[in-house]
Amino acid sequence: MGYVLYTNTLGVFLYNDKGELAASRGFSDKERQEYEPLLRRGEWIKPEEELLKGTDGRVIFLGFKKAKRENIVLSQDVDKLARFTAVRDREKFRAANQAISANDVRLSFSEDIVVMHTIRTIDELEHVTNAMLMRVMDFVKLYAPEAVSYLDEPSAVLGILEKGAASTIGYPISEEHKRVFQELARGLAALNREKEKLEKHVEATMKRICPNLLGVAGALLGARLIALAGSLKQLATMPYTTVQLLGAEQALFRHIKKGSKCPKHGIILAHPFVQTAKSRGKAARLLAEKLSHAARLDYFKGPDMSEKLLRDMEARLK
Amino acid sequence: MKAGRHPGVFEDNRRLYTQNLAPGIAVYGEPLVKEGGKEFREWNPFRSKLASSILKGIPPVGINRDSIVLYLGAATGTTVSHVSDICSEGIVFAVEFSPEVFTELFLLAKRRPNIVPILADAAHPEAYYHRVAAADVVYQDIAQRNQVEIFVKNATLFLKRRGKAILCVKSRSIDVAQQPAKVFGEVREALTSNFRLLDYKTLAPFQKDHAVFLVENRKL
Repeated sequence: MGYVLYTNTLGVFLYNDKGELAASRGFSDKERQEYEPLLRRGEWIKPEEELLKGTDGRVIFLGFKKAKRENIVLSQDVDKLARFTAVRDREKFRAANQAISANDVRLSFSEDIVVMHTIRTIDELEHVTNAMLMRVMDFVKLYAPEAVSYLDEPSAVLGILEKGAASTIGYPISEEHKRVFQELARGLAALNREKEKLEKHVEATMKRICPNLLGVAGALLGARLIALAGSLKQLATMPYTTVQLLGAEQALFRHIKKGSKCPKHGIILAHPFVQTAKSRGKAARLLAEKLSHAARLDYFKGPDMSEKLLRDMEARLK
Repeated sequence: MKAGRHPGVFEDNRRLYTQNLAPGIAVYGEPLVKEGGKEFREWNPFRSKLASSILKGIPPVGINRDSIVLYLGAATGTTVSHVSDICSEGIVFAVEFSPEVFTELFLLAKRRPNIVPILADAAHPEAYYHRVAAADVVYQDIAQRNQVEIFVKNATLFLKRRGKAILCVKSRSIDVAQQPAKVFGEVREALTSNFRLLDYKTLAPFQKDHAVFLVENRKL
């Protein structure tokens, strides 16, 4: 059978034709992290080369390698794997694997995760403050029904709560009761300011990591697109028609399953280019293409071309 | 509480339990029950496809006390924790691709000495070939369009002779527009050309449009 060379997270092992361990070379913690990416890509590593030097004749390598070598046969035979895997060193094997995984988690971080988190927080805040504002307005309505009809800002409602409003109809509600809701309205106004801060933060972060997407989509829409796609990488690698329909999944599946009309746009409808266009479907398609282009430029660290993308897009609608 | 036909899985009044490997700690808010000086964790069939397939009457899936299990699509480790209860003296290699849910799996593995957490894409087994062992059981629960292809690839590489493998199929992630029964039929076909099909169950009423396939590596 010849020699069998097998590498795992603990080290490199060479077995002779009787299946006995002929030579081995363990990894230190540092080496393990250093060799890990090479092993994943299927490249030969130094300790493997060292052990190969001591062999003559045919060697079977158990696993995957990209580059073929003379006298070496690649095999992924389960029986051999069952025979040579490191189940005996279970504890060590587990600890080594855990160390690699911990490092992987750290390496998988990228700033688009923060962008996604922030935009979800913004949307949630908006949702909550709107609902609470409705409550406060219902209360104001009790004693000043005329004043409330056009208010949609916590600060405006707060003004009425504080200064009062002339009213011919409404309950005579005491200051004591109003005070409780004043406090709440103040809290909402504060939350609104927090939301604005978060929006600025999203914009600043995107300016650094995805200037093209920021330029074409704007901060909030761009961030929502990343969040819907799952990451900047996924947004960049999906077809642009998918970008066009992000956020319209329900309508899309209804179309596929029941044959209703196909949606023309998802959340990109919020973009002024689509909003104001005569033919929204066409505008949505053009915008989605440029958004996709922008995300690709950003993910692959291209230059900021957002202005040109916008110009091209507008020219094509005419 | 009685031992059922599945090793390490206990039954009481149509409820499933496994003996807690990390006593005192519930993994996902499941009730803990003490009986005869031992602690058991209730196994919710609505949250775990393995539990629902057991309740639907699947034959023993080959997970024993000392089994080596390759678990693909581990997510936060709900089902993994019960598998780890069952193979208390074995190993569960738990593969998960998404870093966000992986952190939870990682923390679970810190409390359970038989779980080996691996952050990797199950579609590319060559990238973790050196990190896992040959397995007695391969279990896969991945909602991907090419989930059957991924399953065949992994089971071919890692499943020992006579080993068993379980594939959970979500019909909607293969083809939303297609009838689930038709999708399952196609999966069945793809599996029988590679393995010996032992059993097949749909998971209603516990999971919608899901089925499990139990196969055996027929290489002699």
